Order: sequence, then C-alpha cells, then structure tokens
Amino acid sequence: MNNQENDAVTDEVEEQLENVFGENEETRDFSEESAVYSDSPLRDLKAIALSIDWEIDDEIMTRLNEEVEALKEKYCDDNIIVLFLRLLGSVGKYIKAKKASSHPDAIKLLNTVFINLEKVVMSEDMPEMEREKLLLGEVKRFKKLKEDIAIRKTVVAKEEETEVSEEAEPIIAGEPQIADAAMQEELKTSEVEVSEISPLAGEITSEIPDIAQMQPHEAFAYALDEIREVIKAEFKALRAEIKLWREER
Amino acid sequence: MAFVNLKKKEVQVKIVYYGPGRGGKTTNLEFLFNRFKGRIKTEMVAIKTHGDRTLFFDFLPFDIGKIKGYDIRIQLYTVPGQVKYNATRRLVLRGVDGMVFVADSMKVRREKNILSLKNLQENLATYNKNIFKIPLVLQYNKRDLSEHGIPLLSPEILKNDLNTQLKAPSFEASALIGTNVVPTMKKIITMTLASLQRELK
Repeated sequence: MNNQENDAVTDEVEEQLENVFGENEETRDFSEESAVYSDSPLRDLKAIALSIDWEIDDEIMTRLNEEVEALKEKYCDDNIIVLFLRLLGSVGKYIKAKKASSHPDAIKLLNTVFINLEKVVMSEDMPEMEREKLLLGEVKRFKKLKEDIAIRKTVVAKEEETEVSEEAEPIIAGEPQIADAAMQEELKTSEVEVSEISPLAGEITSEIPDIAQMQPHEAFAYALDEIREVIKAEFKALRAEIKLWREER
Repeated sequence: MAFVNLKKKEVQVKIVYYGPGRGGKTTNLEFLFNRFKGRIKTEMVAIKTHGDRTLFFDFLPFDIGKIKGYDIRIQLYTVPGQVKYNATRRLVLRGVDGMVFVADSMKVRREKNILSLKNLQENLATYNKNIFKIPLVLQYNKRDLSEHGIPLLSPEILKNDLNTQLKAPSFEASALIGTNVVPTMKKIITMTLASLQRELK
C-alpha cells in the first residue's frame, strides 16, 4: 500500500515537473564523445588553465610554468605565440606568488589570454593583423591589471603610513613584492617586442599611463588622482542617494 | 525538514547543490534560470565577489504546482565551493531536504571531489543528517571537456571514488551547455518529495 502511494506521488511529481520543465529532456551519452580526442598542442596547457581554481596550489602553477616554457621552445619562431606565452607565464608567476590574495582579475586574465592563444594556434589561416589584434587586446588587459595592482599597493602603503603616523612610531617600509616586480619586468620586455611587431602598440601604450615607467612620486601622484576621482564619484552618488531618501520622506 | 504549512496547504522544499569550487554548481542554476525564466517567473539571487566567486550562496525559488492538493515550492541553493567558506556551507545546509553533489570530471580535480564529498558528510552530520539517507543525486559535470581533449576521469572512476557506497542516481552532465541539468534537477525533486511523503506518513 505504502509503495503504491509513493508511486502515485512520484507519478504526480513527474507529471508536474514535465509541465514546468518539459520539452527539454536532454539525456545524452558522453561515452562515445569521450573517444574523440583532440590533437591540440595546447591540450595540457588548457587542462592546467581550466583547473586553476580559487585554492591555488604551487603544484598546478609550477606545471603551468613548465608547460609555458615547453611551448615557448616549440613555437620559438612565432613571435605572437611566444608573446602570448610570456603573458601567461607572467600572470602565472604573479598568481603563484600571491595565491588567494591575487587580484581577482588575474585569473580572469589568465583565462582570456589562454582562450585567445588557443584561437591563434588553432586557426592557421588567421591573418597576421587579426593575430596582432588579439595579442594587443590581451596586452592592454595585462597593463590594466598591472595598474590596478599598483594602485592597490599604493593605497595599502598609504593606509599603513597613516596608521603608523597616528601611532607616532617609526616605520620600516614593506619588502618589495617579488611577483609584482617580476610581472612589471616581464611586461616591459613584452611591450618592447609588441611595439616592434605592430604600429598599434604605440597607440595602446599612449592610451593608458604606464605606472611602471613613472618615477615613484609620479606614480604616487597618479594613484592619488585616481583615488580622488573615485572618492568624488562615491560622494556624488551618496549625495544623490541622500537627496532621493529625503524626497521620499 | 521541509516547511509544511497545513493551513495554507503549502510545502517548501530546500535542495542544495554541493561540490568543489568551480565545479559548476552555479552554472547548473544559471542554466535552469535562463532556460525556464519565462515559466518559473521568479528571480535568481546570486551573491558574487569581484572575481565571479560565489561568496555566500545562489538561490533559485520556483513553484511546480499542486501535488496531492499541496502547493509545492522548490528552493534551489548552491554553496560556495572554496574550502575556507565552510561555515557558510554549513549554514546553507540548515533545513536541507535533498542534495545534488556536482563533481568536477577533470582528472586534476579528483582529490577535490573526494574531499568535498567528505566535507558534505561531516557538515550534514552536524545537523544529525546521514548522507546515506538524505535524497542525493550525483552529477559528473564538465563531460563536454572531453571534446576539447581535456583529460577527464572516466565515469567508472568517478563512481568508484564517490558512489560505490552511496549508490545514488548519477548523471554525466555539462552544466555549461545544459546537458542533463534538467534530468538531474527533476530526479532530485522527485526523490525529495517521495522521501517527504514517507516522513510525513
């Protein structure tokens, strides 16, 4: 009896579910597809890139670096691919050093660099201009990330400075970030090579002020301006909110 | 235990998608929401950090109509997969009626799957729930990656690692393209409601 009642409920539930979620019953057997095995030279790199999650461990980042180095050798005659790989390597080094405290956009960047690298490698007929465009897009993102990291560092340093001056105690400056330095250094080299490849590179460089090229006091002033702009915008939004709130009352 | 309102003849069922970080729990819910938003007429709530990580949980409520005269309201939740958010995961499990464990089929994630399932067992135990008794469906996600040549764990290995003792219904799926997302959800709802019916007897 109990079983019969259970069956009746199950039938009713299934019928209701069919009413709401019908027509899209997509049962699919993947076993045959598993036999399809790609010969992509980036297969291992892709597996590594996809497996980097938010619990970043040294093992996976070391594998990423090894794979990047191996591919650099394989594609040493193709400047565009080598530069893509260098970008991947730089971001990878940064993530490895910073782990979970990496800038959130770093992993996103790693993924987009890989996706575009894959496009370039797999589309043999891709025109040179298109390949350069994809690369420069990633360089632009890389520079933006580098800027964001520099700004974040400046803000943290400023906060520390304020805290210490409030406590009236002497300060010892924090150690320079090795990974950030590596990243900046890597980008410097990438920029030189990119500008050799494409005239567009110059345009991109001039669009975004490059903190790495600035004197420390200039970089600090630039970061302060950025912060000032953000605070201004925040206050403006806050004032608008208060105005709305008052009107509602 | 599900929330049952005898006066209003309403039952609220809570189903939680659990699994390792970046395994596809949120993608399951996003697929369901995007595909059926015209029919379920509710909103999906997602709280994410700057880097698209699930910070707290995702929440997708919807009604499936009347069963035995009761209005059935389903609430789908995800938990944050990152190890450090265990307190949040435990909190989301409070009052859970059914579970979907979303395993990542990638070879490199083998250990994370096992650890996450163990973590689920421990967290359920804090609410005196037994992983062997709660309605549970296993989903082996990201099967589509085989088409891209990514080394995957075979369904047999996944079964050996995760399902030898549990013997739960399982689906090979791709939450990204939607394969077997709906059958997974239908199965867990059916199992959970059948289990509730038995408990309420």
